[in-house]
Amino acid sequence: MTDNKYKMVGNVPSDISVVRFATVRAQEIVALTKMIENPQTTKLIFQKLPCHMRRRAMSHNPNRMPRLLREAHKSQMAKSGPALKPKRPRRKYRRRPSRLLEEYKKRSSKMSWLETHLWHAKRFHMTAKWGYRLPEKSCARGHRFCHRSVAEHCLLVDISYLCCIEIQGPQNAIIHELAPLCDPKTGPTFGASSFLNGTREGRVTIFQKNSFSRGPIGLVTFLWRHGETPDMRTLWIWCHPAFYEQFLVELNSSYGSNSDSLIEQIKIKITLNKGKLNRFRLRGPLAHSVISNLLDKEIRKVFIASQSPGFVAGVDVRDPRMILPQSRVKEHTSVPSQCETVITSRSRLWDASVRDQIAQVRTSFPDYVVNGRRSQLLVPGSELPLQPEEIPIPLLIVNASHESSDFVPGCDVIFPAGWATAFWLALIYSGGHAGGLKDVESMNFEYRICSDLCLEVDSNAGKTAAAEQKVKLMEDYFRKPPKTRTNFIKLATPFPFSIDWNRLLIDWGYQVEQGFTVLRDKKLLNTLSLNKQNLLSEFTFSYPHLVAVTIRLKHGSPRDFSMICIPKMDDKFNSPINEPIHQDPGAKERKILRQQHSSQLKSLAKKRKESRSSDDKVKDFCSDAVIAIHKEKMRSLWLPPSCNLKTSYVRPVIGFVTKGDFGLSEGKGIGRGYIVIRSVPQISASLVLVRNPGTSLYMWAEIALC
Amino acid sequence: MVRFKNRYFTAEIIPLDNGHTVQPLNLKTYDILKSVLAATEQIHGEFGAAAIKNGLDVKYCNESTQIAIIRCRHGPHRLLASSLPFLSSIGKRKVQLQSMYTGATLVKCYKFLKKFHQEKMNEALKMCRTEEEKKKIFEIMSKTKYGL
Repeated sequence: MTDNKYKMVGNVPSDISVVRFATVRAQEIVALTKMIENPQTTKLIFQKLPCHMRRRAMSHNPNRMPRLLREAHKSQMAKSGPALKPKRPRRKYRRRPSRLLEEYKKRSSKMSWLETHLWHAKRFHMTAKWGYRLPEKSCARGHRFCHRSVAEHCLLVDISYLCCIEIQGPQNAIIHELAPLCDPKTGPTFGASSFLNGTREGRVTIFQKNSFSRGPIGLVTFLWRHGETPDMRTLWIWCHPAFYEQFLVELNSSYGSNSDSLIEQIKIKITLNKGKLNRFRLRGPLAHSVISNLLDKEIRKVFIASQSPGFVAGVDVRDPRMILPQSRVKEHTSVPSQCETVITSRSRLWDASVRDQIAQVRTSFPDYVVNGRRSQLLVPGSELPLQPEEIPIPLLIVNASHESSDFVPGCDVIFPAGWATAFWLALIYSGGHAGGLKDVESMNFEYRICSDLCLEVDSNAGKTAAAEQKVKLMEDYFRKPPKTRTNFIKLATPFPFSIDWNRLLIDWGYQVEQGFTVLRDKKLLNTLSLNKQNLLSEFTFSYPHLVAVTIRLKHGSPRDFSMICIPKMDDKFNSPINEPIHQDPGAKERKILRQQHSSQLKSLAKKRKESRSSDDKVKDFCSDAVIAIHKEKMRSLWLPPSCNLKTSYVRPVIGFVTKGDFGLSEGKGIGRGYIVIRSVPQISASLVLVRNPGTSLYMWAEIALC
Repeated sequence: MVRFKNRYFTAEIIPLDNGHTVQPLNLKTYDILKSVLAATEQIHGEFGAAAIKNGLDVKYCNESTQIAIIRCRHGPHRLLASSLPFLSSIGKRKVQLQSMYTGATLVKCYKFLKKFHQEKMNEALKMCRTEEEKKKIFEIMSKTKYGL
């Protein structure tokens, strides 16, 4: 070894310096020491643990490691990508009744569920509207069955989504503040004497403050509390959730615009009772007998149906879980039809403390306890005798009022929150047929009742709903291939998806910057319908008003968005009139555009390929923008252009049908729509022509102002 | 999984042409690899070269101290070991390889190298002619001791 060393030294060139030799070696030693001290281990953290401390679970659960090593272990686990998603629990576990509340809490951030949601979700197709999940139509029952429920039996709808606003204060102050919101010409308002007593429910159209010529906010129903002194009264206003926000803004502005000191003087308090009350609507001839099954024997004798329409009755009933029949009742108890005694309108429901106490009972006296006691009865299915934990529940039963010329008997039941399922089951088992939003719409179409559940065509809420419907219909239309789409340009349909009332009014010579309204003034409508138009001044005709009409056809039925037109002087009744097929200038343009677009796409694809192969990333030939532009252009070419409604067609258009179908109540085609007020004098013998969208035949129809 | 066992050969590279001392010995790992494969092919044929090729790597190569560590799989390492003395040139330079140590891990090789360098330093101390140089070397040595 030493020989080698000297040999090496000898081989080293003569001018090597020892110092340089030494420094290099020194550096080497330091570097090597560093490498020895810190070896680059590829061992995992858990391999550093002794064998007897390693656990199988530490592969997925870092809490099984000793604390000092936990952090390092977690970071190593994170390096191998995100962890597996936790396993979804099995279906049976997810659907357990005890877990459904958790599901609801998870989903209820955006959508609210009604209390009867679970019952409806099993039997109805549901939709999401106005922040609620609401039943739309029954899975098992058809349209005609639901119509028969209204006409012959009893239709039951859960309308707890209506929002209740409570106003407390001196009577005069409340009426004074609410006066600018409603127009006395449209009918009795908040301060009308028939409602002040609290024995009747009233309905009124509310507008934006002091602007009755613009569109309304909507129709609301209201209820005064019975048996109070005029210096401290309570008023409940029930409004639709679609315009709830707008209404609140109006209320706040009318109460907040006064100085704060004035409010303290007047002491008006507004409380929002949005989720604290439930409301069910029963319509149909048998509605009252269904309700009477809930009541005690003595009250049944008095019989609520004998009270007048619109009457409010406050009753106390037993817990409906005690008296639930064992199976659904189809025959109904016959009830006396005449009665002299009047049920009081006073009710404990108005007290918030009573409501809270009763809501408490629901949780303190749960269902399974009741069911347990019922199962121990001697005769199965009979009524449970009075239990010590029971409290009588106050109800408000509001009879249906006259809304239109057709009257459908029925009532509304209002009761405190938390009891919806109990009452719902009791009513269903007593013979009510459940209905959804579609049934409400059909009730409104056939009989024109339940108008507080439907949106006005000139209100903001109504316009929003129409716009949504337009988008949906347009998507459906454009989803079809071009060959199977109906060509609305050739078939001369100006508004196939939604009606542009502004356009109609402009064509009839109105200025619509301020917006349009539907004529609601009762006196004017009366004079119009009695054909005394000459009595009306030119002033009324100069306002952009629409008049609500009903058209009735002998043969055929109108559809949504059908056009109402006036016949010419020499048109004989029942003569066939056809709209000739219009020219479609867009057809050629569409063809050329299509060819251009496909060639453009091809060239872009070629350019992309070239840039890929030439490795030149200067430009990005993406065809997304081109495709989007082309889609918009094609869609606009398919839609009919805006044209003068009075002159472009064979007969001038005076209005449109918003809802048209075969009316099961009357047995003929009915359309509910609106016409321009200026055209009313031009209608002779109440005869008009109706043309359905996408058709060319004009059908003769009778028109009536409703 | 079955464990891959390696053998690390530490070798000193001695240039044979001291006439060309002006040119620095340009040690490149790629050159060493190529020449090792060539030498093995010469001695043990195609089989030998192929057996060694998988896992053959030059893990450490230092120009100034002329040391290289070559890695090989355990098994064919005997072929490599037997053919290292016959390696005569790396790149264009004529060299002679002298293997000092065979380790199973790189850390063991480093430990050996550290001891080797320390012994060399002590000999350099003895080799010094002037007092000045001795002092300087003492300085450097103490530095490394502290750096340890």
